[in-house]
Order: sequence, then structure tokens, then C-alpha cells
Amino acid sequence: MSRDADPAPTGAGVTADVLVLTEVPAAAEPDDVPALPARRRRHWWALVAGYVATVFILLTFNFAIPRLMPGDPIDALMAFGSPTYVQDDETRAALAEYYKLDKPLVTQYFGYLSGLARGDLGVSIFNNTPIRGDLGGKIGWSFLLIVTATGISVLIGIPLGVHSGWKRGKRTDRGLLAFFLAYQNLPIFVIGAAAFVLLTFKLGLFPYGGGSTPFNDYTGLDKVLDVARHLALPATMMGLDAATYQYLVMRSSMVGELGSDYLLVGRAKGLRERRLKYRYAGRNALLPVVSVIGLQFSLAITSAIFIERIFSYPGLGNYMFQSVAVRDYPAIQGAFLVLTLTVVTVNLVVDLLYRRLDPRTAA
Amino acid sequence: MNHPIGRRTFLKGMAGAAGAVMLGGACNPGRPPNPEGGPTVRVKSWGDLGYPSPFTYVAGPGYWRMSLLFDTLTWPDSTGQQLPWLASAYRRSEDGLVWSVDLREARWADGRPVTADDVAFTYDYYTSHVFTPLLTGVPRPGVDVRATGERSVEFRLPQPEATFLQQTLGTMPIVPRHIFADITDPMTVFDERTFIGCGAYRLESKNVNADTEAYVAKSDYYLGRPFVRRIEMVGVPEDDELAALRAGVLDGASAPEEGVRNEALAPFRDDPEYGMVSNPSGFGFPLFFNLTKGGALADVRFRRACLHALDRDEMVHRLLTGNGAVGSAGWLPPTNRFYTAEGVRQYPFDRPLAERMLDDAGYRRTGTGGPRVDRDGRPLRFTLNLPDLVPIALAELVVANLGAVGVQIDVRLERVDLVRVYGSKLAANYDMVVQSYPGPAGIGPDGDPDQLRGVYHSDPPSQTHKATGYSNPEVDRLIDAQLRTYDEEERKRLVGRIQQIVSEDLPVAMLYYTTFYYAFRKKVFDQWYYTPGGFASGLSDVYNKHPYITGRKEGLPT
Amino acid sequence: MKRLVSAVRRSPLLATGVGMVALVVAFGVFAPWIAPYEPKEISGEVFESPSWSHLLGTNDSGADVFSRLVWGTRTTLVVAVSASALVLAIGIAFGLTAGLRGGLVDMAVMRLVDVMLGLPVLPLLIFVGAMIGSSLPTSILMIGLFLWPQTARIVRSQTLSLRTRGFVGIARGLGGGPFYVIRRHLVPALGPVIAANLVFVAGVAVAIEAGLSFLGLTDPAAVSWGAEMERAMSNSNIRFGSLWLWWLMPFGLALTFAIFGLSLIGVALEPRFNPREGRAR
Repeated sequence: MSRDADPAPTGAGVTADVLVLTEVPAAAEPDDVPALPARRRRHWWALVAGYVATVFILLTFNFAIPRLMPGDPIDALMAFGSPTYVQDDETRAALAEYYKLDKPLVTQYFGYLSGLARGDLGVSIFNNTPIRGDLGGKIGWSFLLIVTATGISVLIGIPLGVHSGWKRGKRTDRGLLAFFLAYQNLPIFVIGAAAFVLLTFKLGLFPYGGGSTPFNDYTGLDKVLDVARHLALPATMMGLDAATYQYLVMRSSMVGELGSDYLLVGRAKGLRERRLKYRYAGRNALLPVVSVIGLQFSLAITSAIFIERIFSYPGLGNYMFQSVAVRDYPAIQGAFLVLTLTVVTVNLVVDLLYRRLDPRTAA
Repeated sequence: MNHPIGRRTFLKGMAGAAGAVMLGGACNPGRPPNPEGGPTVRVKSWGDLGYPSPFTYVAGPGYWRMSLLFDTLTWPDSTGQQLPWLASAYRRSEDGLVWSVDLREARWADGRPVTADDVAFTYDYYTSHVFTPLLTGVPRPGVDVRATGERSVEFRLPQPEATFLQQTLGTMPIVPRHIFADITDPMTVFDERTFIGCGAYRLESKNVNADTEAYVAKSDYYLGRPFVRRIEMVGVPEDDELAALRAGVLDGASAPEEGVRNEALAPFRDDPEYGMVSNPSGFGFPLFFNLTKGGALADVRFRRACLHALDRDEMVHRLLTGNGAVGSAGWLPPTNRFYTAEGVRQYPFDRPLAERMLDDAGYRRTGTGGPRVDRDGRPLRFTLNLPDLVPIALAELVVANLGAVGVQIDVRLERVDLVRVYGSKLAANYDMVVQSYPGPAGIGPDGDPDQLRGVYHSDPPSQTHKATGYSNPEVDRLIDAQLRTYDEEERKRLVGRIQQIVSEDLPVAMLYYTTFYYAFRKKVFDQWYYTPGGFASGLSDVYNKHPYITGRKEGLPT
Repeated sequence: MKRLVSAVRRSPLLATGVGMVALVVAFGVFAPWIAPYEPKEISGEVFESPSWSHLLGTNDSGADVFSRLVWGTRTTLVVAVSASALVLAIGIAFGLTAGLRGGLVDMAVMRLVDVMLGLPVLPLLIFVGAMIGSSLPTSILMIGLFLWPQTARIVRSQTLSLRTRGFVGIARGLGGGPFYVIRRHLVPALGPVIAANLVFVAGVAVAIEAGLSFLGLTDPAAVSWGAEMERAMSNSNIRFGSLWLWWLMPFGLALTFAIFGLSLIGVALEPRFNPREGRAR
């Protein structure tokens, strides 16, 4: 690998985000410092205004798209489940009225917005259950999955990145770099499906499906272990996926610190290698990675959609997919809304936090 | 899927009737109750199918869960006969217009007695409220229901209805007046009150997130304490039900309804620990031609030639390793009581014959072995729509078979897209479509023959599975006539005649039926069966509650 | 082109990437000659194990898996080329406009870019795909409509930096019309940067399309890698024997191979052509 073919983190960022493009750092913003996953530094009110615009677009999208599709949820209902002959026009009209699909669009839109304001996501047409309740239970599982996966990715990505950066150009570095560069090109559903079939099915190493053993009467530690057993494989697959990005950013950030004067001084003072590596260089190089972890939230959501589907994990992604399969209007809308709003909100928070953390903008 | 409102749940939801055939499994109707207090049976949960009240359940499996809490007046056993259930007896008047029902002494879950008033109230309640059409067996207005005593009710019908016993008495869950009289919109009420039924079980827990539900037998149930003491439903991934049985997660599991290969069944066939029951015509896969498109599609000679060109034995062999049967051109499968072989024209695979028929009908090949064109020189090229539930492999075989006789087919799959599937069907905006049947709103191929109304009648109650553009006054007349007679022989004759006519007209070609299989752990519970004609309004699932409650396959405990 | 050739010579990374992508392209272009069967041809029994007549066995209808793999390459190529062309067109249009016009137009475009970049793309694509209906053209169109902001941003910043370097101004001062400026100065200067970006976009588009297919959101009648994976995963027989090894995995590996090849090129191109690099080193 020639020296100048060393991947710039910006490039790596784009590939790592193979499936999520929201946070791809601007590659060639002239005023950016290269080693950082550059976010454009903006006033906080600009960030908030952008956020409000995004939310509005998402809300409108969420309202408009289902109504643009051919057919309507009543079609799906009429087509489903009833072995007797009740699918007459009268029932259809009555149901349309019931679900307020017969009102003018504007009325529907305001009804939709005011409902949202009250936290009302409607009732699932398919399940006849309030969507807010359904989603409430799913969010917890998704959150658990994402947090665990993030933890795993930090444990893998950061130490290896520090090490790799420190040993820049050495064999370990090259090996690790090659591995992660290759791994990040493996779409998560490919490696996830392979792991599912091989480890869960063929070898039976992990319980398949679900977040916990049904009807268990575990308490205390057993309960935790049971959940952990179900969580292990999906979270690891997600964690590995996220770790590649963290590793690459950490490594290049570390490389950026290598020539720094303080290291020279530290060496001169005879500080231990370990101390220099982690306490000094590693710590200083950490900032961009911290921001990356926050920004990876939307990557995590994407991964979760695939992983939850493959491993039948009872989270939001799976819920959204299942709702799509049966065209449950309000449920799809609810899931989509919660998913996307969470992503943009987390992004806003990370942006605001980052402004505070970044010495260049904190002033 | 852990929240498996997946494709197969649709199949389940649409599932219709069944004919029961026993395979393996100890057949021991007189098994004494377990002295330990009866088994706990663990079966698959289909995900969140709504709350198990009669107004909020979803799909076939949802009906089944609800039926554990709410009883109907009659209920079938493995013979397919309707046993008096909440009713102690039921009678039909000479003219067939009055059904009188006597009730058993039963109590609601809150301790109040079940009265004739409740039954009359239930009927009126159903007919005066709007529900999602997911409800099976919704009674229709026009029937006069009145209590004639504390525990006797009369249903006065405007005209005889052959399906009244099964579709209403055997399907309509009776609800308590004292609860529902105050509820104006039962679809939006989600509290314990709506679970107060007089059924054999009570809902112990429902965990939407873990995808589990547990039902516990009531010790004071009016037919005696149920044999299966506890039913647990556990979510398992959609495609892994059989694997979950092997892994010990479930005590019984269905093979995929769209068909199963021997490889998947072998472990259960070989292992004495497991029993298996099957239903040889659980699902049908009919090919609909859109007659309103005109041209070749409206030409019966073309349609007949197509069916001769399809090697359906090969399909059953290839896709199902023989676990299915070639379809009858009269729609109903040989296992249906109303099936007629006589005079029903069948179309065995015969490629040279199909070629000849097409040649004779004027659909010439362009060049040697080239695609065919019609008399106006337009190519015989059609789109085949394929809903999510139909295997792609099936479409590929159809394409290959028809291609071999010079008919070109473009497949358009409509995956995860039922709305469009039925939308295009409703709008008659397709050339050909293979549906899976029990289709929407249709009972299974093996169910009550009144299902032919939905397919072949020119004015069906729903367009969703109508043979688009087909109209034959004679068929209309016969379909209407068969509903009005209680005389089984007469009905068989009429239904037989319908099958003969539609097999000639062939607006729809039933490609094949798949066999349902249910494998179970024998030592836990071995009384599973498929109900001939289905339970409730024709659900073809194995989950008839009768055997869990009685611990036997036939009759009631004495 | 010359530059590319010499670059390939100098960088093994680039050479590897180009080689991998060339192999994928070759498979796609020469599919009819490479694949022993038609992709939908029923050429054997169902679920045959790999043999000399069926290198990767057969699938659930008895079609040759290897042939489907080879033909599936074409879908991948179509997605890669058309999605990136779309992204390129939209991205350049917005980026150039913003960069050259500046002022309010620039601000409006950049705010739009910011908002677009803030949208979670995959949930959106799933949502839209599920609602509007899913087919290959829809997927490509949606991918194009959601991926352009990144390109627009790059184009804009390059345009700005060219502008500040002055020769655009001089050219305009000397009487060159805007199109002249674009053709004569901007396009050649932008080329390398855009190339790197486009390679990334192509990889992303391929991965997204496959991902959507994997979730069942495409036209499975099309022979494509993602769709075949979905077909295998949703077939319960994938659990039996070693079927998964030759029905499921080859498609996943082919997909990885193609994306890897593209990203190697992208990684190799980026530092070389990135004008910033000169400063940094």
C-alpha cells in the first residue's frame, strides 16, 4: 500500500456509510480540517431551523405518501381475513367514514397534525390496537439493541483504532486496516443472514428469534442473562458493522496526532509508551470519534431494520417492516415517524453537543 | 418473524375449510384426562392479532384466540358436524325459515348467567354496528331474532339459507348484553371488560412485545373443565415454525401453507415422538383469466389450450415433492363433499394437443417455433400478476410451460403489495393472475360450496375473487338455488351442475391444491385434527378448540 | 484516461479495485456467453447440489444458480450506472447553480442540501418503496433523488474554490459565456473529484438497491442479487442441508465483491485528486 494511497477518513466515511447517507461528511469543504468528520459549523439557530424544516418535511411526507399510493387501506382490509361475504360497498363506505378517509385531504391533514400534537398516532387498522402503545414496547427493544451494539462497536473500534494508528504502517496496522476496509464493504444483511443461518440454525449456538425466552420465570441475574443470550448475536453483528467506521476515524485521528509536539516532549520526559499512546494521543484523538458515535445513530437505525428482520428481534424496525407487509397505514406512518424523528433529533442533539465540545466552535 | 404478521399470516387469515385425514399420531379418542390436571400446550403465536374480543380480533388465527374466550351456539368436531355447544339443542322448522335454539346453563366470566336475551342482543349488535370486515360470519340484517324464554331463542329467516347453521350459529360469538349495551364503538375499547365471554378459557396474559399470550382453562366451564389446562402462544420466526417444534419451543407446528417439501417433513415422519395430521386440499392456486380484456383471454379455446399446456403434475412434483394435488377445473377439490367427477371436464397436460388447439383456434406461430399471434397479428403476450403469497417458482413454471406452446408471459410480481394485487383485481386491470385460495373473503377449496358464488356468480358479494368478466345466467341461477335448499342431495346435484358448466367455460383454472401438515409432540397433546369443512365460517386451520376442551376428536364429554 | 492508466500503474489499490470492477462489468456484459443457461430456464431438478452441469446447483424452481448469479450482474450494473448518472445530473445542476450564482440561490440550495442530508435515507426509501410500489426503475429513481445532495455539495465547493482562484472570473471577463466557462474550466477541473464521488455513489446505490430487494421491496421477477437472497432467505428449505452455501451465499459474496471493488477505486482516487491533499502534506 503506497503512502499516498492511505485512505483519508472522509473517503472512508462515505464507504462506511454504505447504507446511510445522512451523515456523510462533506468531502471537500475547503475550510475543514481534514482529519475531522467535518460538520459544517453553523449557528445553533441555523441548526434548529434546519431541524424544524426537516421535521416538517418528514411530517408532510408521512402524511402525503400513503395517500398517493394506488388503492387504500380499506382495500387491504377488504382483501383480508373474512371468509364470509361482508365486503360490500356499504361496509366499505362505513369503514372509510370510520377511518375518516372520506374527508377532504386538508381536513385529514389538520386532523393528522392535531392528533400528533396530542401524541395520538392513531389505531392500527390491522391490529385494532393503539399504535402508540405498540410502538412504546418496541422502542425499548430497539434501544437496547442499538445501545448494546454501540457499546460493542466502541470496545472493538476504538482500541484497535488507537493501536493501529500508533503502529502506523506496521504489520498489525496493515492487517487491521485491510480487514476493516474489507469488512465495511460487507452489507450488513449479507453478513447478518450468513451468521443467522450458520450460527443460529446450523450450529444452534444462539436462540432464534425474539428478545427473551417466552414464558420464562427467570428473575434477577437469570433474566438478564436470558435477554443477553438473545441479544448477543444481533448486537454483535450490528456492533461489528459500526466498529469499522469508528476504527477508521480513530485510526486516522490518531495518525494526525502522531507528529504532535506534546508526544515529543512526553517521549523526551521518558513517559511510558502505554501512557503516551492512550492517555495522551488517544485522548486527544478521541473527539472526532465521539462525534462519529453520535452520528452513527442513523446508521444504527438502518442496521437495526435489517438485523431485526433477520433475527426476528422485537424492535421498531421489524414492526415497521411487518406493517409494510400488511399495508397498515397508521402503523407504517407511526413507525416511520418515530424512527425518522428520533434520527433527526439525535442528530440535532449531537450537532449541538459537538459545537460545545469542539474547541474551534466552543467560543 | 417475532411480530409475524407476515405473509403467511395472510394465508392463515384467509384460511378456509378443510377435510380431515389422519396421518401418524395415535388415534385415541377415549384418552382419559391427565391425572396431573391436563396438559399445557404451546403453539405458535401469529404476532399481535389484536385483542381477543369479537370486535377487535384479526384474521383466522385471531378468531381462534377469540373463540377460546367466546362461545358460539354450535361448534363442529372432527366429523364436521355442528355439535350443540352453548346451545343444548337446535331445531329447524319444516319450511326452513325458523331456527330455534335452547341454551345450556352457562355463566359469563363475571358470574352472570347467559340468557336468551344475550343471544338476541348479540345478533342485533352485530347487525347495527360497523366492524372491520375481518370478522368472520358477520350476521346480516333481515333476520328476526327474539328470545322466547329465559334460555330459548328463535331466528326467523326471510328465506331458507343452507349456510345458516355453520355461518351464523356456528360462527357468531355470543357477547354479554350487560357489558356491550354500554359500548357504542367496540372497536376502540381495549379493556378487560371486552374479554368477558362464556368460553372455556380466560386470557391470563398477553405480551405484545414478547409476542406471547397465555390462556387458562376455567374450572367451572359449563361443558366440564377443559382437557388442555393451559394454552401458551409463542412468537417464532415466520419460516421456522417446524424448527421451533424440533427445538422444543412449540408442541405443534404447521408446515408452510403454500406447500412443503418432503425434506422439511422427514424429521417428523421418522421420529415416533411426533405425530402428524394433514389436510390434502388446504390451499388452492387458481389462475384467473381476465375476460374483459377480450381477444384470446375471452376465447374459451385459448384458455382450454393453456390449461392443457400446463404440466401441473410436474408442478406438484417439483414444488411440493408430491405434497399436493392437481386442481379440478370445477374448482372444488375431490376431498370436498360436493365435488363431482362426473361430467366435469378436466385438462390433463398434453402439449401437442395444446398446440393443435391453438392452431385450430387461429393462433398461428410466427415462423417455426416462434411466438404465436392472434388472427389480427397481435402477439399472444400477456402479463401474469403474482401476489406475494404465490411462489415465484410457480410463475416460472407457468412461463416455461406456456412459452413452450408459443404463448409469451411477462411475470409481474406484486410482492408485499396486497393492496395493489386486489386493487388490480377489483379494477379488472390485469391479464392473468394466480391467486392463493382461500383468497380474501373466500373459504377454502374444501369449504362450503357457496364459495362458488364469490368466483363464478355475475353479481358476487365481493369483486376480489370474481372470475373477471365471466357471466353465465345458468350458473347464477344454480348458485342462488343451491343456497336455498337444505336437501343435501339436491344441493349436491345443483353444485355438481355448476362444476360441470364452469369446467367447460373455464374462466378460472385451478392449478393445484397444497396439502396442509401439522406436526405435534405426541406426549403433550395428540388429538389434533383438521375439521372437514372448517370450523367457524370455514377456517381450515388445525386450531379447532373442540379437541382441547373435550380431549377427544368426536362428540362432547358425557 | 491517460491519467487513469498511469494512476493504475502507480497504485496497487486502484489497480485491484479497477480489476475487481472490470471483472464484474465483464460478467455483466458477457453474461450470455458466460452463463451456461438462461437465468429463468428450468434446467434441472429443484435444489440440485453443485455439479459440473450446475456449478452452484439449482434453486427452488430448478433454475441454474450460477447463471442467475451471472445474469444478476446486469441488474447491479444498471443500478450502479443509472443511479450514479442521475445523482450526477441532479448534483451538478444544483451544485453548479449554487456555486456560480452564489447569494440567495446558493443559500437556498445549501439549506435544501442540509435538510436532505439530515433525512434518514433507508427508512425513507422503505417507506416510499412500500407505499408507491417497488420496481427496479422506482428504486433507481428514489436512490437518485435522495443521494444527490452530497454530490451537489462537492460540486459547489469546487466551483467556489475555482472561482476564488480567479480564472473563471478572468474567462468571464474576457467574454466567455457561462456555458463556455462550464465546459472549458469547470468540467475539467471538477472531473477527478466527481469521479471519486461517483464511484462511491455507485457503490452506495448498489448496496441500497440490494438492501431494498433483500427486504422484498423490488420486483423479484428481475434477476438480481438482492432479490435472489431474499428469495433464498424466505424459503424455508434454506434451513436444510448445505443449500444456503450455494444458493444464498454466492449472491452476498458477489455483492460484497462489487462494492469492495468500487470502494477501493474510490479510496484510491480520493487522496490523489483531492486538491486539499497538496496542502495537507
